Amino acid sequence: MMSAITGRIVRTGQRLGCPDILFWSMPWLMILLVMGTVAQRNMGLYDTQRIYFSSFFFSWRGLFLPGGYLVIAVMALNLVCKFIFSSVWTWDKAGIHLTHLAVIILLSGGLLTALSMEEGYIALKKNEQKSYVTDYQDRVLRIEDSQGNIITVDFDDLQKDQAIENLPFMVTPLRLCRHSHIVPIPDDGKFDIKCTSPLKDSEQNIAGMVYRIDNAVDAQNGIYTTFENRQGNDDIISRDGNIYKLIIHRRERLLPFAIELQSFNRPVYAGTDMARDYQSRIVIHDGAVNWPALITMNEPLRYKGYTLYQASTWMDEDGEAVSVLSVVTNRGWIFPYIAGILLMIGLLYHLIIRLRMRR
Amino acid sequence: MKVMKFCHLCFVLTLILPIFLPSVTRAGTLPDAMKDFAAWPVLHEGRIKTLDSFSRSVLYRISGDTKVNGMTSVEWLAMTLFDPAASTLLPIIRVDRVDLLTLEERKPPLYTMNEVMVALRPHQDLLMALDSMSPDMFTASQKRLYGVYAAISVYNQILQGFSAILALDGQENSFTYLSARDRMTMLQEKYKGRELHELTSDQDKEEFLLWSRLLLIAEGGRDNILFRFIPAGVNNASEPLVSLWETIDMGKGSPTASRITGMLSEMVSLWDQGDLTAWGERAAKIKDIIDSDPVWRLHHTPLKLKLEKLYVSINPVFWLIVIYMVVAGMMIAGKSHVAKWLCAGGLCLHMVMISIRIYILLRPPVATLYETLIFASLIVILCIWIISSRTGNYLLLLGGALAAIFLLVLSNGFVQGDSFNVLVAVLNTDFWLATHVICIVIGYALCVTAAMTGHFVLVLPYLQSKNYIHKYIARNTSILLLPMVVAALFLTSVGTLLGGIWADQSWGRFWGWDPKENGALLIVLWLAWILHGRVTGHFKKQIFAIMVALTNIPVALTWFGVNLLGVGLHSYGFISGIAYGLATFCVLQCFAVIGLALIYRKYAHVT
Repeated sequence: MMSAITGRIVRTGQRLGCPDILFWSMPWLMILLVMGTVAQRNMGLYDTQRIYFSSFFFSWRGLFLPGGYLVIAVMALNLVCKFIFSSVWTWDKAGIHLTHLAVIILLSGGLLTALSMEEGYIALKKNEQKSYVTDYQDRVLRIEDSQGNIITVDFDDLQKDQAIENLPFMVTPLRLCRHSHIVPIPDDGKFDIKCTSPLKDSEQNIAGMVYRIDNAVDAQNGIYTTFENRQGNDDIISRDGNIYKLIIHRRERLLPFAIELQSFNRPVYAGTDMARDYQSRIVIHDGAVNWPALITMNEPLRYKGYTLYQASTWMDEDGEAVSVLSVVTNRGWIFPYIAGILLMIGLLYHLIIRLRMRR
Repeated sequence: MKVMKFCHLCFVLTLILPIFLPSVTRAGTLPDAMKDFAAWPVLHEGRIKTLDSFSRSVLYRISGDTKVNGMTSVEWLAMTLFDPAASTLLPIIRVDRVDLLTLEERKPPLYTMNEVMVALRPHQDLLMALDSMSPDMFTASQKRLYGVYAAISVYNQILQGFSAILALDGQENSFTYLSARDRMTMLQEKYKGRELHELTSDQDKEEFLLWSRLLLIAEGGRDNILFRFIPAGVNNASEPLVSLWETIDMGKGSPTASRITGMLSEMVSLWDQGDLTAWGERAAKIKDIIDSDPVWRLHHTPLKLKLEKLYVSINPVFWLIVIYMVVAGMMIAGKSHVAKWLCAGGLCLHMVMISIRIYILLRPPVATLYETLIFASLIVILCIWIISSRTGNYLLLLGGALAAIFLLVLSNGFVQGDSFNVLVAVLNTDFWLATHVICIVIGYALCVTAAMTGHFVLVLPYLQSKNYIHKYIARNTSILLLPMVVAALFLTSVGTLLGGIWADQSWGRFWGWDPKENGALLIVLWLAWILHGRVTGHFKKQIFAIMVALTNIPVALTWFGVNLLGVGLHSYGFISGIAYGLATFCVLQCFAVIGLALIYRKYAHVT
């Protein structure tokens, strides 16, 4: 009985580990790569990645096609089954096995990264201190009252014509734009928004919403517009006299420590304005412990599972330099290092074996 | 007879290649008087280079070429500095889209300073607005317009580089800004706020006009820091060379600067008199003064400048192409032994050339497209040389030489005046350039070598059927294909992984589906796919050879194609204007492989 089950598992494993599966899935991954790369010219990296690579299926010109997740999952399953059930464990095949193992480890790291990775940034001016990370993509609608009570709703969870609950008045989104173009209304001081296709640089996309207020004080009922980074959002006065504001902003996540920028340097090549490096001298404030660190190009800081690296810089309205540090948490970061070493050994061993066999 | 036809065909192909040679021209010959002038050290774009390299870089920026009106860039620079009025009459400013500026159409589209200035006038407000914007926000036409404006600004700096020591009215022995500058304060106090028509005496009017002109010259000299060639002295260690205007009006003078300024004034007079021999002697003296400056000698490595001068003047890429063409010719003529040793000579020159670049730039020689192409051509020819020596198949040398010629000719298209460039901050790391980039470029080179061998394998049955090569050699070459693909896969996949680790180090993530990363993965997948196809029996010998031959296409798309998209984090590599060339290459490559596959099919049964 046991051996029959084992036999069936082995047979199924061997079938799933059939090299044909890999042979036929690889061309599709290549096609997907080309499609996803070319699409970045118009759609930008984030949306392309979401549609083509971080999806099981996607729709393309009316066709329902397998996405990156599905193809990679099939290839990973095939490789694992091949590795376990169909491998011939001889020394001359050791290089191939090591290479396959390296790819399996790499894909496992990729899976862990996809599940656990969080990316954001901290923009700091000199002597400024922050203990939260701003997300590159996720937006939230924050509804705050004059007493400091705050309700946040994920922007992506908002539904058109569906009122937001648990408020002393009714907020009904009429138009929701993940990427919007802001149109000032002449002689009115107000704005309208138009939904547009995403910009190439996803950080430049502005989310916006047109919404209707009901059940507030009568003068307040009506249609309003708000969008990301809007200065002077409209006040909504509820019937109990409280004043509310609706604000759209990028999601912020708390860090278990704070970062203070001591100085930001941009050394240039002699006789030019071309940067040779970008350097942020920071101080980490972690409870009672404070310690200095230097983040430069290609030299990130890793602390408590967070990687802080020098991403960019800009000038604020006052002409003061702002250092932008990207903050990433990625539990799968070690996998590529292990996979890299195994892959190198595996392929090199296989190459040597091939050349020796030829001789 | 058919063998002869084949030889003739190859010979014709070899003859066609020289068509490309004019694009890889050698540096023009300089008049003797200009040789020392061309060797002056100049601080430009972050490094100390020869004046020759500086003039090429600047002229290329303005005119899109390193020669103009039959003059070398050094002659043009001398003319622009010492006789700016004559220089402004030369049509040297390149404007590709003339409709943008309402200029008359011309071939080549080169215009004079005055023509372009007049055409730019209606766009003044837009240009001022663009000046305060990030170039990323420009539209395509704004980019072109701003490009012309930027070229004019560079040209203007050169035109006014020596304006402080040029005669104010163009007459010899008249005032210069430098000689009249002492009177500036007095004239300023006397005439500030007054108008010409308010003045009555002729002397006052003359003084007022002089003051106005001095002001105008001083304005042109403000921030004129492009042409830095005068040792800065002890107080300016971060920038060892400064411009003439910096020594005169920006407080960066020194005893050496004063001596050089005096010598330059003499050069101005000699230029006006047309005495080029004496002018050249003064240029040599200035070079001696610079070289003997004690502070400058601390920063300066004379050997580097000498090597750069040598490199630019002989243009080794030109000679490498010539050598590899002769190698190809020798192969066709059946002189394989001579070709082998000639090729070894070419390899030595190739290595010396790359070593010189490493010594001058103090970094691995793979940081720009130009450098990667030159490095890859070395690897291709080296691999082919080793393989042909091991297998005895010297016919491969013909293919290797042609592939190297192709890569070298291509490299020339990516030189923008000066080929020695400093790197953007993210690339400024010797460790990753020496590991990831070297690994990837060798991987690309191995792909090209394998693809070239794949082409060759497809012709083998034909050559064999005509007894052009021995069966043993043909077999030896065919079975080489698989290890070559494994080697290419090894280097490209390790290189890609190292790239991921570099990305993790500098951007915080291993993989981001960026176009450059996708391109690298595409090659790895392609190689892995054809290997699996061969191992699992999906690809028989012929199909495998076809697939290997087609490897050139993903390599070309990754090497150049993804840079055309202009998106992603690898922005330092963005290029434009080669889309049609790339598409043509891919189509031609497909046709070539189809043609060779048909030949294979026709003759395979014979062998």
